[in-house]
Amino acid sequence: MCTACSSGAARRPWGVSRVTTPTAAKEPAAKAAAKLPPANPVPEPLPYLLDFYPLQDPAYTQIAPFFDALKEGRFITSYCKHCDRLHFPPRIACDQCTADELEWREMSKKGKIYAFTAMMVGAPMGMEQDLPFAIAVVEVEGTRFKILARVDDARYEDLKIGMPLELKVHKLADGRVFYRYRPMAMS
Amino acid sequence: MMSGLKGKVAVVAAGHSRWGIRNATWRELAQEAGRELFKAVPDLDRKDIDSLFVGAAEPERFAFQSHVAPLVADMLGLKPWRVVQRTELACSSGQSAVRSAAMAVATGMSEIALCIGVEKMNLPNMAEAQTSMACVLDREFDGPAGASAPPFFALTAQRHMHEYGTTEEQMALVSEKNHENSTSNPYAQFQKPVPRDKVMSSRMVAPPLKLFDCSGITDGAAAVLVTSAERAKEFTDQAAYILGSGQSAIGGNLANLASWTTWEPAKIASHEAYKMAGIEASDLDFVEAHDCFSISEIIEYEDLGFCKKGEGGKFIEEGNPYIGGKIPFNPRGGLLGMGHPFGATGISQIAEVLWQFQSKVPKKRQVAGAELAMTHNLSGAANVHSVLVWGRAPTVGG
Repeated sequence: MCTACSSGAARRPWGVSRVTTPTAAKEPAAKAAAKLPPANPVPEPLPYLLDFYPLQDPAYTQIAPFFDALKEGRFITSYCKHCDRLHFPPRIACDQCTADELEWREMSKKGKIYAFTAMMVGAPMGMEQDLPFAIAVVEVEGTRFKILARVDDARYEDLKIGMPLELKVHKLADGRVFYRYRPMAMS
Repeated sequence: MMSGLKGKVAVVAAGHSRWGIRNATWRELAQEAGRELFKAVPDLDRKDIDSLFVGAAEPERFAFQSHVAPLVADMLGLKPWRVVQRTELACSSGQSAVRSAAMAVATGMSEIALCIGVEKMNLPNMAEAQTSMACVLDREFDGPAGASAPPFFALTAQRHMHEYGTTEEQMALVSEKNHENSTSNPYAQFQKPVPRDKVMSSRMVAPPLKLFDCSGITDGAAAVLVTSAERAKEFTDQAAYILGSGQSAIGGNLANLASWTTWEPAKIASHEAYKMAGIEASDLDFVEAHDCFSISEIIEYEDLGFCKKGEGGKFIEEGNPYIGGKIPFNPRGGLLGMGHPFGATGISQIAEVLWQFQSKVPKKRQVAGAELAMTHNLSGAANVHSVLVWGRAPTVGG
């Protein structure tokens, strides 16, 4: 276990801490990672400038409501009523009319696969333990957006273009969240 | 009609380091390219180089170094006094350096400018290098999906296959061709042939892309000397003259791309460059295009105007982009054969154009009698495309 985590959290002004749980690594992923060339020890938590997940606290961003909603399982984005236009990623000013009085609108959590692949090798730091993992371009139902997201609970071989997916909230150990997708539950 | 840069600016000399996994730092690579350039113009007094443009995509990430231009000046014994800057446009940082220098020369801000592109990408911890490459895309919103270059171009390839019936075998032909071309390039990272079967059986990186569908992770540098068309003869009997240029950007986050399979910015940038030059795509004698992945070159055949949309795979199957074919693509060896040090690629392509015009390249990759050439780069999620059209003479047909 990483002994730096508890003290590291206090030192870092962005309040990011991450608890490593080596037992959480699934057996196949661990095997894939073992094939990689030896890397230097990766500090946990990752330094801010090596970490892909955005800062989500209102101290650092004006789109904190997007992340707060995601924590509650809602997928929202900014909307300009003057232009009748949704934005993604969420913005603080409309890219068409520059209005900054934007509203938050809920988007569907359903989507379907437009394209998909898998990262087999060469993952960035902090993602190596997940190799291989599926990635898809997802058409978000009811919007013009095709967004990139990881697909959990499925292997590359399980996916097809046009396949329905549903949004899944991925929670980081430090409390931050990010959207992923998973195959639509059969009902 | 805007005449822009047409006929005003010339590249008169070039220098190149060996590319590959190098036992060298970024500044040593820059010195190698600079030294080779100075050897090519022994009469040049370094004091006359008034401007310096350094193409470098991510020295902060790969070398933990900002403000690289003055360090390059220091290493090369330059004291530029007109324009000194680094240009950053990810994989197009090198071409950006030359476009910026060309604009400075065309306006009279600079008379003699050195452009040098450099990137040191092989690090002791390659996961850190992968992290650095991935932050070229929208790090906060596409990054958490693991979106580095191979997955992005894999998604593009799958979609192109889905819509147009492009095949993995056709993509393998691109890799085979460009690796064959780089066998005669002593600067290349890869100098051995990679036959199509070897491409097809290489390790899967991001399906459908395999190892040899991907350009390498490369350390390297290249340099060119830029001056006005009037002064070109002071340095060489045969310069490469800029006839046209264009650049276009659409979309940042992947949700806002114009399209996944049609690179609208490539169409816009090349159209602009052809218009400025007063030519059509079919007038070109060879193209140095940005084949960061095999699928990229196939889409470029289409969107730079050499074949109909969706027929890029067929275009190579029919033998068109080979040396001796209808329009040779990447005689230098492309990014697939040469490797791809982000900041240096665009400048290496321009060095190839100059050396082709000067008949200085080995016969095997010489495009006989070439009068007109194009260099093309894309950057990021293919959301930016940059184009330069080059002539053996400052006027078309001149």
